[in-house]
Amino acid sequence: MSRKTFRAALNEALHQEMATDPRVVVFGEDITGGTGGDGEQDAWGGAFGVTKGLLGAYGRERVLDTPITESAFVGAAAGAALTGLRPVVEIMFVDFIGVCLDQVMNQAAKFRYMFGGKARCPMVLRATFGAGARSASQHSQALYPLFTHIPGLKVVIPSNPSDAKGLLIEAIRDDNPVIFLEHKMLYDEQGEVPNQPYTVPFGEARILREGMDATIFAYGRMVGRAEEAAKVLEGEGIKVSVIDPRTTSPLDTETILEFAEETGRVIIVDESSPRCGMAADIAALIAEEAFDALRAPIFKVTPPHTPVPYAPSLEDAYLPDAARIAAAVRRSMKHRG
Amino acid sequence: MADERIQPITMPKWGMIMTEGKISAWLKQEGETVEVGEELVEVETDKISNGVEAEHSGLLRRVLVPEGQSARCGSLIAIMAPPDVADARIDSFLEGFTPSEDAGDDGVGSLTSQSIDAGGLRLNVVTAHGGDGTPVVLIHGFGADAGSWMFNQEVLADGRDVHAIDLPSHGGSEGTSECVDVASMASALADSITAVAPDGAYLVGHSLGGRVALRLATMPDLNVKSLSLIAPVGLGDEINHDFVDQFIAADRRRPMKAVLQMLMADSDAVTSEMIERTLSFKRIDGVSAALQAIADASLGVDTIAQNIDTDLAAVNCPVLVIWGKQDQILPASSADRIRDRARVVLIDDAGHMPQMETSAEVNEALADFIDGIES
Repeated sequence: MSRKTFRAALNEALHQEMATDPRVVVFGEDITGGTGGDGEQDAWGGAFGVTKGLLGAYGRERVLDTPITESAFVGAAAGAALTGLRPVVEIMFVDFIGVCLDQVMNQAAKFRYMFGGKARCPMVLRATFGAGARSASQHSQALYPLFTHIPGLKVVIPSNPSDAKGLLIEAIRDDNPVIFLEHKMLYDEQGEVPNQPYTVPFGEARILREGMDATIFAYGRMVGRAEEAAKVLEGEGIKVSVIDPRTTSPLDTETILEFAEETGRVIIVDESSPRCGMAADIAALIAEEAFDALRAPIFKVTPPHTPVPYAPSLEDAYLPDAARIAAAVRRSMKHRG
Repeated sequence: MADERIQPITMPKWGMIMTEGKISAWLKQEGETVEVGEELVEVETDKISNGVEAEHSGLLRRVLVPEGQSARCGSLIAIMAPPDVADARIDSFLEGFTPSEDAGDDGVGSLTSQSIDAGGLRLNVVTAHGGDGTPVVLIHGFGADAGSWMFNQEVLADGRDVHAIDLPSHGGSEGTSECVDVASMASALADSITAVAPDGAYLVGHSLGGRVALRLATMPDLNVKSLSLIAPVGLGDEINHDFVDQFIAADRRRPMKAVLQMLMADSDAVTSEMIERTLSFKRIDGVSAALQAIADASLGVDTIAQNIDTDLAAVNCPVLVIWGKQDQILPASSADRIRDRARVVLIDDAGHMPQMETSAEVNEALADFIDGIES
């Protein structure tokens, strides 16, 4: 166990899986480098440095820079997975999925089903997501609902370094296509991370704190903000549970319903757009399955239904923060249900 | 001038990473009398909440940190003193009080950890620094780690260092497929004990760690001064096999919660953090297989009481046995086997983890026993 950044935890997961499984290959744009040599050898190791050092350890056969054509290299990953490799492919910003969605939605996600279970497509598509980096509207979206909507894909959103490592190893060992989304504002976050390889299973929520007054569900970077809100509320005598479902597909409906029923008040924080997002999805689940336990309306805390603004002040206002989350909890508490 | 009748109560430090704690409730109010072992205050951290029990009897004179507020580890939270100590004396005590130097970011008792090479196997040793006296060595049980001593380690580090060693394949220690039986684990530990306590040690072992400690106490070179066994494996041939099997099998939160609840007299004592921590350990590559191998070699129907009479006969030091009366894993009646030659302490409201559930009573029993040998 030692303290590592979110970035270092992901890098360690890639190193350890590549070391033990020769079928694991990595490719994407600008992902080689970080070996301290000349030229390409000393390049970035990915736009955010996650793949740094892999080239030096595993060579050009397994660590490949691709041209700037997501349609080609994501399609290549799906094909490689189908024929026995376990590719981990990096899309620099998840927003770029627009140019290669067919490869993911109509090919990778469908192979196993269309071939009667005889085909396997063990690919991991890693991508950064999320607002806050002043990168404007084509580099800042939280598109996980798009993938969650498609049967045949698993969708993973780590919120802290130890989950990041365990979930990535789980993703690489999974026999199905996994969309692995890394919030770009979390890369420098630090936490205790075991040094050995380990897994965190999909479809199991993490319980960050337990309080009986209300439950906040949150994903990715919003988990930390939900925690901040919970601390503020505690000072006011309001004790809330904070739950990070960790994956949107599969979804830990059991834990979500358990906490909705126990507390009767539900606040869902979602960085994706309010329409057809995870907040709406979880709210629908609870309304259907735990209606009688509810003591107040379900509150969604999301950005407005607009593109992510580029102006820093607007971008900050766009994102849910601890104050808005706490305000939603207080509104919920006003209902005397 | 120091007045020894004034007893400062400070924020405890549980585990390596706790830096502050929040007072969730005062269970005694100013002006109330407190008996030793009575719960004084409930403290909550990000990781765990627990009661702080009074180490001395007396009158609670001042509550310095109100409910809902946090304080750094080692800082004053209350004062106990007899009624005839003047308020002014307490005031001047407060002015003159400086939190122990270690109370900063490095923590009270400054827990440090090191990795020690024990015959090719690196074992993790967590140390609470307390002084030059003969050190105490703590050995945890099956599936646990040094963290199971979080309520004991610093308290015992009074005038002596207290080392908590992670068993092979547990916590931060390495393991091999050979090092799974009591004899091999004991010989791996012997090397690390020699490294941290070359002139001898007081051994304390819990459950499987108790069985390993018993074997260690038979090794003359280690110069074991006393042996304290908390619900040790091997004194009886009964064990709750459902617990062992389900602990190894549990890979999700709910089954793990049910398993961990078997460890406690009060099933509410099992927190989400404890479940998450145990699952994280079990999800490390190879851990489940290692636990299965250890269970087969040390906790099986044919292996649990192996060599117990030979080992007991070879122990020459004083022995203390502590057992929770509500232990659902190993029956407290197993203590009878050693009653003729050991001090036996049975605790009413404890299950298989008395050192956590009734930490004050266990700490007191251990300190009394060890101090008695020393004097």
